[in-house]
Amino acid sequence: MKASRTPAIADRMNDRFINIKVDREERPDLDQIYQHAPRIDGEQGGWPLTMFLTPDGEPFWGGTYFPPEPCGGDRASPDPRTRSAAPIASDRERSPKNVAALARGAAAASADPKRGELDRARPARPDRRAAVARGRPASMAASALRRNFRRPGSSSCCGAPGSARGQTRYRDAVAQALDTSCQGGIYDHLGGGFARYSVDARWLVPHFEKMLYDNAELVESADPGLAGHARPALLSSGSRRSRLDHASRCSRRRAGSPQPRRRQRARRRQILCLVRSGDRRAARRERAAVVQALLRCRGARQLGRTHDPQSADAPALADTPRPSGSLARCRALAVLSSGAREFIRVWTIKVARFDWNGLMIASRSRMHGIVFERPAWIEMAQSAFDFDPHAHDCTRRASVTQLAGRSCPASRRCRRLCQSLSRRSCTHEATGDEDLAGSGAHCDGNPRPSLLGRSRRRLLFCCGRHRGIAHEAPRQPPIPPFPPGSGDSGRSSLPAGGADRRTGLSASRREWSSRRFRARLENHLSARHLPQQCRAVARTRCRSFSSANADLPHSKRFAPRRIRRFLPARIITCLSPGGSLPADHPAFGKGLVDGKARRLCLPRPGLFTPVTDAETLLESLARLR
Amino acid sequence: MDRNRLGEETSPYLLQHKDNPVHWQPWSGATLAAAQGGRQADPAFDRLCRLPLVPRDGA
Repeated sequence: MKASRTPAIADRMNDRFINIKVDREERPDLDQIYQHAPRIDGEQGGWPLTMFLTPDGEPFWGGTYFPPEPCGGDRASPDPRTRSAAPIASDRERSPKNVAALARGAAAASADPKRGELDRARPARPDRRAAVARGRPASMAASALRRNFRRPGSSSCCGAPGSARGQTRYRDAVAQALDTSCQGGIYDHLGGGFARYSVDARWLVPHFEKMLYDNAELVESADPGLAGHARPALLSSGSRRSRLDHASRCSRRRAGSPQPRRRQRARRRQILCLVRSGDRRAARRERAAVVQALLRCRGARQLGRTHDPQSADAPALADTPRPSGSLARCRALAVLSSGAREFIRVWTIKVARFDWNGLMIASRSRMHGIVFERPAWIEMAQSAFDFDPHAHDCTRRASVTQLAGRSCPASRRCRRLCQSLSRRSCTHEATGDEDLAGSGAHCDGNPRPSLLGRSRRRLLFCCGRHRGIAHEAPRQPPIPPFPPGSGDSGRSSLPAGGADRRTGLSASRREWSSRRFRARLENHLSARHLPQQCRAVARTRCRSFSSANADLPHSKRFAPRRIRRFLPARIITCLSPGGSLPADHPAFGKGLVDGKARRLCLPRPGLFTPVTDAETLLESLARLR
Repeated sequence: MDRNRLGEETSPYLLQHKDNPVHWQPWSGATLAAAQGGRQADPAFDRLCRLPLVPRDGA
């Protein structure tokens, strides 16, 4: 498409060919005829299909997508300078041979019962993954990601070694590819999910083509490529009612027996859950724990493969040491319980798209801590959505840049910051949570709504009456240390007048501790952008804990980690893309179709649980309490 | 074949490309006859697009 709009290529095509364009829906008979040709030629069939025909209509060469220039091993459009189609077309000796070869292949394919399948014997393309692993120039990685038709695997294979070596060019390429994908994919015509194929150069109008496995791989590649810390492991399993039921049914099936019809149906429904971990090895351990928890998981599909306890994969999983502690088991149970609620039917994309919206936003949100600090991204945002970086608070840019580096010792702080920013980004994408306005944010009436800027410290509300840029609630001023010269150094050896008999603290010290505790609590609540209701719950919980555990030392009663423990760390967001898009966005005005999965809940840091209805959301929140 | 003739078509997909610099022609007997008649010695360049909602890559 893009190639034919290039004037030089168009001129050449007009000069040398009679160009015929056919609507496949109007002429499926022609499509059926010519789809076989590229497969026989060792290429992959599909659409848009470009075929070169003889004057008699016989195909002799073709393929699917042709970029204007050769890119990542793909052939280019028929530009004579790129040594592709035109020399072949003008070669009078080779064309008949090609036609004859295709005719022989077509005859063989018609006799083959597996007719129409992809020819596996096609010539191998350059092994991009191996090249990147060997440290080839980042231009190769960049070229792999620059195409309209992106392969998610190239994102992960380019991002991991690049970030491991500290080569930011790899990460930049991955980040730009993913970011542009997200820009178009979330707000596509069909309501959500990544589309790996775009119809325009800016990725504003995505192709409708969305594959479950593509989305899964993109979710996986989004995090390590940009956050640089956590690497999620994907677990995919089929289920009709619940994963446990499905796994038990599969485990009861005897080996070698034909698949029951119920299982065939069940396998079409897939669940994708993310088991997030701090590093790759831990992710593998957790994945193995989840798989083991799936009742020996015969038939459960992990990363697209079918794992059988008797298969060659089983020893590797069995030998994997079980993680110590209950963390992995809790995560496994959480995955199972969340999976039981979630269905994603692969073959009906429109049913799954809203679930994917939640996953996409959640995965993308982690990169927002570093997205807008880079000039290239800002430039891209400017061109895409008229984003004005000067209208946004960039005071934390340096800290984000510093913290986002892998060498930063304060990785926990970085993750926390990214999570904090991610909540704003979710709100930025969602713009439907009016509770946020009641949590201390206010609108400054900025008349320039910007889609991308809302992930920064300022939030943009485009929903209803809240329109403008909203600032988050001001942080509480830090409580100064307890004055040592106030006549009370804190703990007195003997209970004096006004001192607590159990703790031995003076009244002034107790008042200071209480003030510091309240300030910390409010800061935490402010940083998390919790709605009023959750703030009240958190305050009540903290007070209850403090009064019920008055015999504990102050350091334990009012420790920051205890405050965080009571906070319902979660995102609630409303996916209403139609109301948040600029008027010139191609998806503007295209609202939700059936209103599914309007909310997204992150009950625990590191475990994504998309929630599809209000009851499930309330249930998740109740479980946190 | 000196101009883009997709503007005369009724297909929404083809109409999207009526302003394309490539001189696209509809699939018709006249076009094929022109190709066979030697007005253009080179083969026809055929592009089939517009697929319905079907998975690609065998998914």
